Amino acid sequence: MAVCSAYTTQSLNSTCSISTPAKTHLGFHQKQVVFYRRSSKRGGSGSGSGSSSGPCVITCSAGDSQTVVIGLAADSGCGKSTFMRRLTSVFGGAAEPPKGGNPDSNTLISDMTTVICLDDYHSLDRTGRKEKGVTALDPRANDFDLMYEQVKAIKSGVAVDKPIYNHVTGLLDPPELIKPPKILVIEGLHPMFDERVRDLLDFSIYLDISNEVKFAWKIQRDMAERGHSLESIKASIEARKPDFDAYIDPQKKYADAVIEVLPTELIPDDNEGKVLRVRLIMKEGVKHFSPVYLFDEGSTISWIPCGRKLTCSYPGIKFHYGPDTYFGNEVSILEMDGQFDRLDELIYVESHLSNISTKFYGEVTQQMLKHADFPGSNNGTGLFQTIVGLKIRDLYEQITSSKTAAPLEATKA
Amino acid sequence: MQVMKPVRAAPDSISEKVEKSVKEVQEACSDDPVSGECVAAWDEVKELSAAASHARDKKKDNDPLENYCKDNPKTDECRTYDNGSIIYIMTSFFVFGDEKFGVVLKLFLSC
Repeated sequence: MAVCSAYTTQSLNSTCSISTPAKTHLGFHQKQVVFYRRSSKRGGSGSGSGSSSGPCVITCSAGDSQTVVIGLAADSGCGKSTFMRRLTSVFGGAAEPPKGGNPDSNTLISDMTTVICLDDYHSLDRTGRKEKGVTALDPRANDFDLMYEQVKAIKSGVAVDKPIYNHVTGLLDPPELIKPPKILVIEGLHPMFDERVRDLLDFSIYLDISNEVKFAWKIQRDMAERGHSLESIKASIEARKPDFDAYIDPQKKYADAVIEVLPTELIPDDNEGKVLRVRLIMKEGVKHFSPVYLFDEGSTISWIPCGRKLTCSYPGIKFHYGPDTYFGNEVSILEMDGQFDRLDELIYVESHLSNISTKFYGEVTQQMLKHADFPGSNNGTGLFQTIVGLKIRDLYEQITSSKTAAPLEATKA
Repeated sequence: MQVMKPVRAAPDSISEKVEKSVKEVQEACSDDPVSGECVAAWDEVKELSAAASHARDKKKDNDPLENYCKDNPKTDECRTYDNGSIIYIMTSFFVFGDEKFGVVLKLFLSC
């Protein structure tokens, strides 16, 4: 865990003054930064040897100020998505827009996490894109240099002034201050597009919605709006497809986890998009991430939980698990088709999944119930999003404990 | 005091924008359906539809009482009582031993 967190923009104006063994800028890349406070209060708890017999010494390990960065590639619009809400809920607390700031800000802040929308790094606003004839998907409409610099700065504990892209007006608003959180999530269309940004990510997820499901969802969502018709919704998806396939889709191969949402195979010719087949594709060999499995790792299993112990209503539930290759990478795929109707179905399924990184029995079920009103709470989308949230928590805890271990050894010596 | 507004689909300005953007698409795509202008126009439709749906959701979530109580839990409108405290209040009435209070006690226990 972070021993103490200190973050500054360019200047440090607190009651502390910093003295560092060797001079670099602000000392954040040092192993240890020593703060001397002018007040006579004793310095804070340390990683072992924090308070010496002097009146006020706080020892911070710069390693702990390293933010864990998660990338989420999704077409759905930034920080307000269900996935984000589930993810921040796993860590506790509700995520809200920054208080007192721009009401159209896309950023969400909770105790542990900050979610940044990558649309904020658009280099062209809506008018600019219209003039040039490019979509938001096009790399030419995004400033990857700024994205890289700011994510790198936040990761090393420096606060940044991030621009705001206002989705209502389509303009770029004045920047807002983003302080480094424990976990930074960057959500948008291009988290893994730029190689430098990709290297900063500790974990990356790609949410892959198939065209049929996208169409079905958009119909439900947009038909209520004046001006839309079935044809216009279909045309809007089709028109974006070339740019999507060229720039967004290729990011799939870099993701550590892909959540693929497809139409169900349990109901022939279903086009409502209500019952879904969801596949969680997990890359093997990713540091701090062990894939979820059914029964035994590396084996192939088809499982229908409904039967004597559990009665399910139509169309039931079907699971599949097995190793596979995905764009040349070794992966394990966990698949769920169908939906949950009752609490006991959910808990039964949870008790048979392994490596889900829960802290207590029934945690997945509890998280799903907590947000029973969210879309996908009764099918694989909610289940796998919740599980990925728990895996990210596990990853975060592993990273931070491995970072505190090293300085602890150093200070004990 | 909170002003109660009638609940609408999405704020009119955004709904109008969506409608306008769909009309603009007709112009942009009439010349060439695969031109950059046409595709960018459809992208704008998509972006505005998403903004409209988010605005709708935000309106749906906005219960003025809940929002007020989140910041002011101690005010009269927002106080919540559990059964224990009701019984305590009611038994203290009973101690004063008047027939009327027995009726009140019955009413409170029934809810």
